[in-house]
Amino acid sequence: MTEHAITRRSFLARSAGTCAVVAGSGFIGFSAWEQARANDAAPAPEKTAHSLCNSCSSKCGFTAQVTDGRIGIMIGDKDHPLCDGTLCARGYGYASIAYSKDRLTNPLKKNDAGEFEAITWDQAFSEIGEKVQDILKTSGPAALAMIQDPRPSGSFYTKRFMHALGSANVYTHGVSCNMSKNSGMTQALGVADFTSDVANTDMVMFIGRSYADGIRPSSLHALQKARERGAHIVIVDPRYNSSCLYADEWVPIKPATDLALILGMAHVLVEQDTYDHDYVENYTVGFEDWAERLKEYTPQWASEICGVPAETIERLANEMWEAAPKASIEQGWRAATGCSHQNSGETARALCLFNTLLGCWGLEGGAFFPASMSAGKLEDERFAAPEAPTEKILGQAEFPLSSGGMGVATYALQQVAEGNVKGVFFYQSNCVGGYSNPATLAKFLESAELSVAIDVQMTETCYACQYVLPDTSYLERLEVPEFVGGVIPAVSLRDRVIDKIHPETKPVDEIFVGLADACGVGEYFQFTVDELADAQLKTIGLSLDELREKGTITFPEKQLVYELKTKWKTPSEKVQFTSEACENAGFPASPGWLEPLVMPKEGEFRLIGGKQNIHAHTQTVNIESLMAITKQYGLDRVWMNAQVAADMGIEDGDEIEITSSEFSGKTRVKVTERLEPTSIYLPSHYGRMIPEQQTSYGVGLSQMDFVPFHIEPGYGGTMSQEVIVTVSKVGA
Amino acid sequence: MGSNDALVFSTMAKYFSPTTESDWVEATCPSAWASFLDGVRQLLQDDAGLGQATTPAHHMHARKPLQTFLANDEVNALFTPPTFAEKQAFAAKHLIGGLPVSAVPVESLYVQWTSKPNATTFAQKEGLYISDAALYMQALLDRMGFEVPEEFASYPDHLSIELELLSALIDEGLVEEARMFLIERFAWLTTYRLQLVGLGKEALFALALVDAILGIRAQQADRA
Repeated sequence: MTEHAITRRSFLARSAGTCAVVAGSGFIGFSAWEQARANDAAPAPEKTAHSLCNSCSSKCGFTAQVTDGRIGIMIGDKDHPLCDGTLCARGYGYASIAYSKDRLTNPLKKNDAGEFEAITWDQAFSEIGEKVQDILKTSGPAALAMIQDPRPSGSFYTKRFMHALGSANVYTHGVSCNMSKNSGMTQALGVADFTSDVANTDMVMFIGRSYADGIRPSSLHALQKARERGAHIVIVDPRYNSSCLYADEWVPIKPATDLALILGMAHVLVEQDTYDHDYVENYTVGFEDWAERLKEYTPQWASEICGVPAETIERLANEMWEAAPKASIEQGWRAATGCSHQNSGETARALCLFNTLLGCWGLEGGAFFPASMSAGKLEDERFAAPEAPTEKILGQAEFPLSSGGMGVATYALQQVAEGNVKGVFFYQSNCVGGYSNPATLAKFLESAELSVAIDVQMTETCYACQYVLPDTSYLERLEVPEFVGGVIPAVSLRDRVIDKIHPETKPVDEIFVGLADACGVGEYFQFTVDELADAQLKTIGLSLDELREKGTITFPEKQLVYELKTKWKTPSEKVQFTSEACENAGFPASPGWLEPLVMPKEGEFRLIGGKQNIHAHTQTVNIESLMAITKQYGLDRVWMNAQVAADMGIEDGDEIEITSSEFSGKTRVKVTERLEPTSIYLPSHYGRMIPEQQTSYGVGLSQMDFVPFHIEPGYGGTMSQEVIVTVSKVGA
Repeated sequence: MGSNDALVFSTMAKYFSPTTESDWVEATCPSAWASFLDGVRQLLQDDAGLGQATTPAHHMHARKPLQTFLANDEVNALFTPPTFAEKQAFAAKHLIGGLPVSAVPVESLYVQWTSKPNATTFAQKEGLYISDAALYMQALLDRMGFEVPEEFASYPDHLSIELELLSALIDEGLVEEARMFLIERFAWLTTYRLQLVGLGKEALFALALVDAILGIRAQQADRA
């Protein structure tokens, strides 16, 4: 080799004990290798492992087979209360995120030119830790905030990290999801959730929620059973959603007026004296106040506001009463009651009170409160929780009815621009892309002294931050056990299914241990996630090994027992037709009509969003197999009412331009009779604006781009449908 | 020890993988680099099998210049190899995943995931790590007694590994196997080079290396 001036120093090493020339006999061409594999009988999986799906917030349990180190067949866990043995299309498709070309593979830092460059974990931890300590010194712990989409380990580690730093500012995605529902229900019932016993009901009314779009398999199974039993299923929604396939009746309604419908139906029952007197007299307070208020909300009055004929309102109310107590209005989630309108919180409150008139609480076929199970107190000192911060979460004072457990994340970001919050962390939260107007939220973040996003792929939120830390995918990590409520509660595990793919990614627990060390609070994280999970399970007589083996373990001894619910966690320990807290927040003591923030005039429309059953918000649109369905069926099109379209000379498939006060965008239109005339429906998840998501970039429009930044008074929701748009045909 | 052909591919591998500064400086010092360029030029046009050069290096003047096979700006880039700092800067922006300017040199990302259509719902999609190409490379490396460095454990089909293995095959004198491997394994570079083209001038050096590999591959394919 002396004639060569370079030397060959390969980083490919020979295996120990291998002599230099196995090579000749070892070589095999790709075609021969592939043929040999094809000739083999299907190889048995090397292992099976249990995990929890991450394609939406339901986190269904499943068992995965691993062959050749790769995930293969996935089977929904029968015992998992939300999964009930079935995964949805999102769950199967989303598994490819582990292998996606768009995975973040290294810690990133934005340089002076605004471009991201890879840095080492040491540099990332060190610089972030230094900035956190500076903020703590100059502004105190309340100047730090954490926004996270709750997952088992994420919920534990983010809260512990922030509390260790002395900050109460831990927020979820609630503002853009079910914040107003939970908060409104808490005012009426003292609890944030109930479950309509759909499988056993005689009549159920869904207002805005679609089990067949925002899929939770067990809920859809229940709806199917109801259908088979001959239950009366009513869907109230501006659009004919996918659940209408199971329903007897679609009631198209003007969006943001659901409160009027409920008040009108309540008026019917109270005026007719057809309500559960016994329940109202014994287990509620403030009924007289609401009864008096309801007098003006006749079906005719409601009809003029919501567009549902008065006779339909009267009929539906009477049918509900006839079916009671095996009847209820389902609680909704993100739409009418969740976060969409200025009256979402009050709509949730009124919904609970209407159900109270039916006397359905806790009864079979009515509405129940899922049985639950949780870990006990951990005795090992290593797990002792940091002292709880003394200050309340930022935003609680300004939005006093908002759920403190969720927090008003958009308000926290606004406080970055106001200079009151200086450092923000995001864990698996595309807050900027989906919680409110993205341009405004990104602008708020520009003022941050420190912004850190932790995620598996580049999102609008990551893009707006100074540091991006790469998480492992959900298939590559163990998390703390997930306790799931239901008819039979259960505990379920997200275990490591496949080996870590990218060596410079870290699971959430390791990331927060590293951050805690760098921020000077490492003493609160002196344990591994395996140790923590095992310790939690030991408190209920289980072990990590047992749960690893089974995936989901149920607690039949805790099974729900149907019985009339008579005691509530409200200040009065009764259902509250009136709420002092609501009154103090500027609302009437009992819910009355509250105008939406905006109403479309002639030639205007309200832009509404909503899920499709193959996507979950912005999280799944970059999955190629799911986006392929979108493209095949043109699911990114906006919907427009057929008569309105005809009047405007717009035909199916035309390109239209939609314009709001914030944004203007062009897309194709689906002309349909399945939408009430004052609405334009835009599927919520499309319109991704960053090229890092190569599959989703540039497909469709983003609902939130059109929505102004605003917050629902009192309750804190993002009011995602309080936006007026105009529509024009492109080229006309 | 090994032939200059092997060294050419091994040197190329260094650009796409983490190296120490001294390794890179050594590989790109004037004498070594001149030898590398001669090797590339020879491989692009000689009829000999890989590792079987028949013409002494000093006869290079009789061969066509690199400009015959590569664009002028690519040749210019090849004649001025990046410093270690420049190499590191390129890697920090482009050889990592998740960015619009990512150009991760892993074969799996440019081929169908698996030929077994029922393996998963995404079996026939492209753009996913650990495809059949990666499984094949791992199996091949195992059979041949090579260990993949830990940082490449999930990317046995990384361009650097494929180049190193090609280099090893040449070193072992496995001429036909090396040729088959070169032709079978490096087809994905036709797609990968488009990623590099999209990066503009910043990626000219990488593009020149990739185009050189594709040129050598075409030359070897013609030998059939």
